[in-house]
Amino acid sequence: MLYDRYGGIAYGLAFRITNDGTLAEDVVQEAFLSVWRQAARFDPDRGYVRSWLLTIVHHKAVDCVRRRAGRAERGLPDGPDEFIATRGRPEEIAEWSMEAAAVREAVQRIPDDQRRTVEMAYFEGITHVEIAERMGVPLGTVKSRLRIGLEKMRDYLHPKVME
Amino acid sequence: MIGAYALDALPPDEAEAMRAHMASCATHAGAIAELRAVAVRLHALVGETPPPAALRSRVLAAVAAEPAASRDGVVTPMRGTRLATTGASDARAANARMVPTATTSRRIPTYAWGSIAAVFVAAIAGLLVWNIVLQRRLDNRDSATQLAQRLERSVPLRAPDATSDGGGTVVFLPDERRAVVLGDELPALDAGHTYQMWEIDQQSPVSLGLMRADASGRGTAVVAFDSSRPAILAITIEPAGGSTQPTTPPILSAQPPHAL
Repeated sequence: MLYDRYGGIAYGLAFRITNDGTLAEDVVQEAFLSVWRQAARFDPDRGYVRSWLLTIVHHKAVDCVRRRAGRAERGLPDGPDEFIATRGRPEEIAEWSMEAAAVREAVQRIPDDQRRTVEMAYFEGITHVEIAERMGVPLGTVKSRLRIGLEKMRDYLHPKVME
Repeated sequence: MIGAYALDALPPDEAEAMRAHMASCATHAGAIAELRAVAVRLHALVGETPPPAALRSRVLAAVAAEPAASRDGVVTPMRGTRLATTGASDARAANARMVPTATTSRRIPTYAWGSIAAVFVAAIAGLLVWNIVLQRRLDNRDSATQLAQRLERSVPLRAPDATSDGGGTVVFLPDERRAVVLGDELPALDAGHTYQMWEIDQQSPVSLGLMRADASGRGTAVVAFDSSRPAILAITIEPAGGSTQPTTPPILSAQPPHAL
């Protein structure tokens, strides 16, 4: 089923962001439920399922972190289910492996300040304002680092995995 | 701002404003969809973590308790955020299916709306644009077909004798001179040992790096491998840290197909 395939990735991401096993479990459960609820409205394309699931995991994990910190709660997007068995086709796993290697390389290629800013934004669950405070740089700098960092990664990844 | 939005790093009010803007601005929606496609891939920096065993049954029970969703009013967005392994014609077909049916809004279950509606609409708008961008690229380069073809070069990892455990697959990527090694059911090793991969030709073996197996015996690695040369890819068990030359016989090996 879908869980067997993506549970480890989803839990890994949720745990990385929340740093809390119980919260991470809640996030994963809610994310799979969201995917299941909206399954009917999408073509159950497996590559897409993964992206969609992990987008939801990220949203929900960020929400958990912010809620825990006493901040306002946001509404979240919810989305197919194709509870597919096992680990998947070798070719598909190969794609993911290639993709993961390319992503790691892309992250290493962007300047340190952009990388740290992007990683803080994605993994810490904090807002750009808080990132600016933590890093001691103007908000505008954080915004441009995030955009330029992602754009550089996109330009590196496009010919490799995103085309 | 679009970078922060793509990374879920905007405060709720600003995120809401951005979603509203995206619903009517195809330029920003497209740009954000592209950056989101990058952002979601950042999970690769974390990798998989085996969840607690109880979580599986918990998720299954929660799903079982949900009413089944209707398959009516299918919308097919999102192809653009995945790797393009389908051909250009498939991408076009996907685009053709992306138009919501006239009855979609009536049939979507009520629980799907409410606070998520704006987010959803904005996301779809962005992904539609991104899909079109992707299709144009596919039309221009036909790279997806090429990728699909080269991904067919998968070969089983075989043990030299029936007594060895483990197996798996190697996908050879001749264009990139790389290979993806997917080990399955690899025996657990103690802390003093590791799996090491080798390119073995008629001369001395060349190390391709180490591979770790997870608790379920699965290991994955991307290695440099020129499959146009006569060589095999082999895996041995070596002392922790690896060896400069194999010190044990291969437990698994794979030979690139001739056609490469």
